[in-house]
Amino acid sequence: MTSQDDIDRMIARVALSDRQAFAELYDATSAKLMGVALRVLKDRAVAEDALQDIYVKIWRNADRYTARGLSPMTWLITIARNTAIDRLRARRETGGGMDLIESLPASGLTPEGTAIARSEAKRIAGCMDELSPEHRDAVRGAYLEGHTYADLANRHDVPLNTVRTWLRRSLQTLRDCLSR
Amino acid sequence: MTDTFTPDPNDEMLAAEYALGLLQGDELRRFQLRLASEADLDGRVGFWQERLATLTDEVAATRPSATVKARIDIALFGESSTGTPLLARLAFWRGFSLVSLATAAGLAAFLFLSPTPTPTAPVFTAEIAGDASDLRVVAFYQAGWPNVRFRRSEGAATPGRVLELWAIIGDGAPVSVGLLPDGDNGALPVPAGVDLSAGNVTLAISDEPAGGSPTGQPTGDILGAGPVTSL
Repeated sequence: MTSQDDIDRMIARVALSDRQAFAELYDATSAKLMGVALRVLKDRAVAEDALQDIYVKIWRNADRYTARGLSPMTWLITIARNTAIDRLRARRETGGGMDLIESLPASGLTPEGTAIARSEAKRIAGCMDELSPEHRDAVRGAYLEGHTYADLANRHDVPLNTVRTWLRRSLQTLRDCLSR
Repeated sequence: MTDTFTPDPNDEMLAAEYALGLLQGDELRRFQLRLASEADLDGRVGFWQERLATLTDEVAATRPSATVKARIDIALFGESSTGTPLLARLAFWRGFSLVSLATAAGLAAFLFLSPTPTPTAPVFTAEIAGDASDLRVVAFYQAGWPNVRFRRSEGAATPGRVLELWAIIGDGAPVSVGLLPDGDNGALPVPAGVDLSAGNVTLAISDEPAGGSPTGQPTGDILGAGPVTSL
């Protein structure tokens, strides 16, 4: 089992253009990131095309990873998810892509964020249980499948501004729970 | 600047919505502009990214096909530096799986120009393009036609060289279709044994010496490739 520290070191070596480390990182993480891309894109061939983009971006942006303060798997998962969602939305021509580089923090977490990032990250699972099943599905649909507010309004058959109001209420509940 | 431990409630929601990918349009652009200069806001996005990423714990790991790593290496490091075997090169060609909208639009015009299109027969197309060259050729075929037609929208052979079109069936060795003429539009006879409507054919173009490949297989750089798909 590869630990977070192992992944952390691999990314640091990739930042120095170490192709052996890149191969090791691919072996250790590609199944996970393929799963993330496939969840968004639903089609294996399309997800594999996205996976190619994802690792090209990882190679090219690895030197920006260490300054960022995110845990290594979060950094990788965020790239994978945003790249897959960009593809999904480009295919649907709805606009509003995540724009990978802009959507990664440029300067790292605040002291508060850094202190609790590793120890409490798992707590969102418990906090999700505080939401109603419908609201929980909406948050998971947005994150794991790239649903937009318009998608969520359609799926849950409520007006667009209503869906935003209750999704924000869910996020506030999560925030309060995560802060306790 | 907002105090770190009592962030503006609306900013907190915007950060969460941004991390979820829910901001769009002007609201997204305004938020991105602020992110570049407001470290605290950036930290709030990181807070949400860190926690939301754990939602992927429920996502099943899925091993990608073995060819994906070869495609990544070719894209990043180039095939020459890695001595990539032919099989991996073929995998790379098949990586171009989406026909662009520009292609579709071009085809609509192309259909108009084509002689005797048969309205009912299935239509097939391939966009032949590559990351490493500016060549872009759209191939077009209708079931029952003896020829594959094509239009070149970008790129050309370098002086003294020619462009050779190949058909690859499944994992098989490339079959030469012929040399692309100089004009932007043209047609070549479909080689015997090649069924462009079979759904498993990739078309590729290589750079070759005058007269075409002397070996019967591509000898120069692969300038582009794309799968033949039903339109």
